[in-house]
This record gives sequence, structure tokens and C-alpha cells, in this order.
Amino acid sequence: MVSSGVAALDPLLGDGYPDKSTILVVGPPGIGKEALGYWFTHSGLIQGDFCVYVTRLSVKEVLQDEKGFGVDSQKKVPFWFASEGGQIKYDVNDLAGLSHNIKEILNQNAGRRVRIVIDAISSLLMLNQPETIYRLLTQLFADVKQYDAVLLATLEEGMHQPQVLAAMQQLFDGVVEMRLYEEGLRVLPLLRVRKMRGVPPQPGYFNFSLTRDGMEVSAYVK
Amino acid sequence: MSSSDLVLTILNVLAYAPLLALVYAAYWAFDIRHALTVRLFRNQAFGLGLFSLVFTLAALPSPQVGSNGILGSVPFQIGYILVTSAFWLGAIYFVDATALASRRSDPLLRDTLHWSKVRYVLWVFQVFNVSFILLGISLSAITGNASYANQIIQGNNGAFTSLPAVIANLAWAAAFGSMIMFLPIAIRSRNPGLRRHLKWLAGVPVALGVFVIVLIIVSSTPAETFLNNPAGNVLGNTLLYLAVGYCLYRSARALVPLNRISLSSSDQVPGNLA
Repeated sequence: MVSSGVAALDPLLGDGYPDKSTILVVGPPGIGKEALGYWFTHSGLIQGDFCVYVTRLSVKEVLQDEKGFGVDSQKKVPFWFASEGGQIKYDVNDLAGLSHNIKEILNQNAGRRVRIVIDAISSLLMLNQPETIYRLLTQLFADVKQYDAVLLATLEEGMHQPQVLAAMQQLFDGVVEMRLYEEGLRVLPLLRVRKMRGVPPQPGYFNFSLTRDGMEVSAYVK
Repeated sequence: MSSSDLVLTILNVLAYAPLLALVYAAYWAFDIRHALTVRLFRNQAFGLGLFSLVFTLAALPSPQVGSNGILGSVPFQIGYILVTSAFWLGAIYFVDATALASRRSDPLLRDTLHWSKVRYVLWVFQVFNVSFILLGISLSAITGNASYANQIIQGNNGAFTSLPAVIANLAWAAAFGSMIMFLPIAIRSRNPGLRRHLKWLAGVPVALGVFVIVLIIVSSTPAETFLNNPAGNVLGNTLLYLAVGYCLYRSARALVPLNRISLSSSDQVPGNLA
């Protein structure tokens, strides 16, 4: 198992993300699903894993966001695919390049655990036919699973058709939902582990809060 | 009590209904803000809440204006100008926060109308305008002389008769002019949630526009007499602000997708942290 980087989340996942797995984090803009990616990357860097961060933002923007969650990537730096400031420039139109570069990285780090975070799935889906992205991800996942790698991707809720969301959830080994729910006159952020390979289905919801010190999780009771 | 007085009393009570609608819209915006963690989107929700609160202040039933058309006491004038200053700054904040958040949700991260640079100019311009106005009303408050405040209020009514009036007009132009940003954002955005949010927001100027058109249509007709009397005035403003409040409420709810918890029999067990 690979730690998620969030001590409070690992028990819900069955001690972390499964080896050689692909994880999808779904949530609306602003809820903090990228924070799971930041903590996942940061924990990997501390443990000596090779970490790749794929984003359509610039490195500077991501580092700024990370600071809000208490993550400091200045000392240990992941391998960046970013629009600016990264080792490889992220080109939203170059799907083949993206796939090829990730495969190359996996090849070059065959003896190490690799953690890949992709924070650009939604933009890929908005700019391409969903079927194109399904094929891309299917091929990418096949490559990831040949190595000791875990891939975590984020997807924006509310930006895609329900059938696209459902199809995406089918592709991944694990799905974590961070959503806003109405309870009377309140809006609650709740987390749910929709599915996770090797773990029995968990129907429950969990309250969560994200702070600079990490994530706090508690059982939701109506 | 005559029937007309009774009607007027009922209408004056109903005049507070829009306040509830506007406060409710602000409440949803602030509650959503509280649930979010990324500063960019929290600011967007805060901006909408602030905007709704400013409308709440604007919708407060106010004392009758004096016969010369100038609002009565100096304290009331100052309060009126403070509310409009809050609107001038609140509008810029709201547009800025929405534009920055919309850029983040654009798959190509486009900088609509070079907003990342234009925003600094707009903020400096508006802060200057508001500072000038606030300095002036501070003088009015200290001296008890209403003339400066009156000049600003004349500017609010479209006059260009003095420097404070011109500054007030520029502040209004900056506030409303900045809202033009919403149109290209809505057109460009592929985010259905953002488009829904902006669509409902567009209901605010539509409501204001319909109100103005109705006023124009009924002018020089018998209906104008009704609208000009206190009961008609209150009814018109109540309907207007109710419409604005509803649009802001729907816009707030469209900021993020909101789900309902579905607890089937298998879901009744609280989440297991073991």
C-alpha cells in the first residue's frame, strides 16, 4: 500500500492507496481535492519516491496553492509537467506527447516507486472528445501498472456530463469523492470513498476539513 | 385607519420582504464560501455575498426625500454615500474575484480582456474615487455642512455639476463598466456551473432594466400617478428588489454543485474510521 500522505485518510482507504493503482478524486472547484495531490506528492518525496506532477497551471501557481495547505515543495521538488516553470512544458493539445513522456519517466525510474499526480483531466475532457481521453487514460494506466507506480488524478464536478463522470469512475481503481451537500440550511463538505480496489465498499460519508496541518476526518452522522 | 392607509401600512411591512431575500442570498454565498478551501473560489463566493449585502442596504426602506429633492439630514446623507461607496468597491471586488476564478476553471487559462493587468488599474482608480468621496463626507460630518454630500448625491443622480459629482459618476462608471467582464467570461467559459451562476447574475440587470422600461412605458399614462404615490413607489421597489434577491440567491446556489445526501438502508451506518 502507498500512503496517501494524509494520516486521517489512510484508514478509510485500507491503509493507503493500493500498489499499482489509479485513483480518481472528484469534487467541485475550490473544495481542495488538489490538496490530496499535494500531500500525496509531498509524502512521496519524503520517502524517496519519484514524484511527477502534471498540471495545466504554472509551477509558481501550484506552489502558491500548496502553501495554503502547509506544503512546502521548495526543498524537495517533484518532476513538473507544467505550463511554465516545469522540466517539461505541459501542452494541452499534445496528448501523444503527454503519454509518451510519462511512459519514458516510468521507464527511466523502473527500479523506484513512482507517484504521478495529474491535475488536468478536466481540461483534457473539455478540449477533446471523451472517447479520446478514455483511450489515452486506458493506455496510460496499462503503462502505469507495469511499474511500481500509483497515479492520482483530479476531476472537477459540475463541469462534465454525468455519463462522462460515470465512465471516468469506471476507468479508475479507486474513486474518492469530496463534495458539497445540503443539509437543511447548511452546506457541508463530505468525503466518500466510492470505491477502492481491495477494500469492501464503504457506504458512509465523512466530514472533513483541510487546514495547513493536514486533513481532519470524522464520521458524518445526520 | 382608512383603507388607503391600511394598504400603505401593509406595503411598508412587505417592503422588508426583499431584505429577507437578499440576506438569504448572502447567507448561501457565505455558507458556500465557508465550505470551500481554495482562496480563489472562497473570494468568488465572498464577493457574491458582499454584493448581496450591499443590495440589502440599498433596499432598506428609506425616509422620504425633502421637497427640494435633496435627502434630509447630514447623517442620512453620509449613510447613503457610505452605502454607495460600499457598492462601488464591492462591485469591483466581485468582478475581480469572479474573473480570477473563471480563469482557473478555463481549460486554456485564458486571460479574458487582459484582466490580470486591467484589474490593477481599475482598483487604483476606484480606490482613489472612493477615498476622495470619503474624505469629502468626513468633512461634511465634521463641519455639519451638507453641501459636499449634496454634490455627491447629485453626481449619483447623473449630474456633472461639480468635482464630487464627476468623481461619483466615474465611480459608478467603473463599477458598472467592470461588470461587462461577465459577458465574455460567460461566453468563453465551458464550465456549465459558472455559466449558470452568471446567467442568474444577469437577471439582476435584467430586473433593473425591466423596472426602468416599465417606468418609461407608464410615464404620461394614468398608471404613472399610481407609481408616483407612496403605495405605488413601495410596491415597485419591493417587486424590483424581490426579483434581484431571487436572482442573487439562485446565482449563489449555482456557485458550486450542491448534492443531497442519500442515505439508503445500507448507508445508514456512519462512516467507519477503524
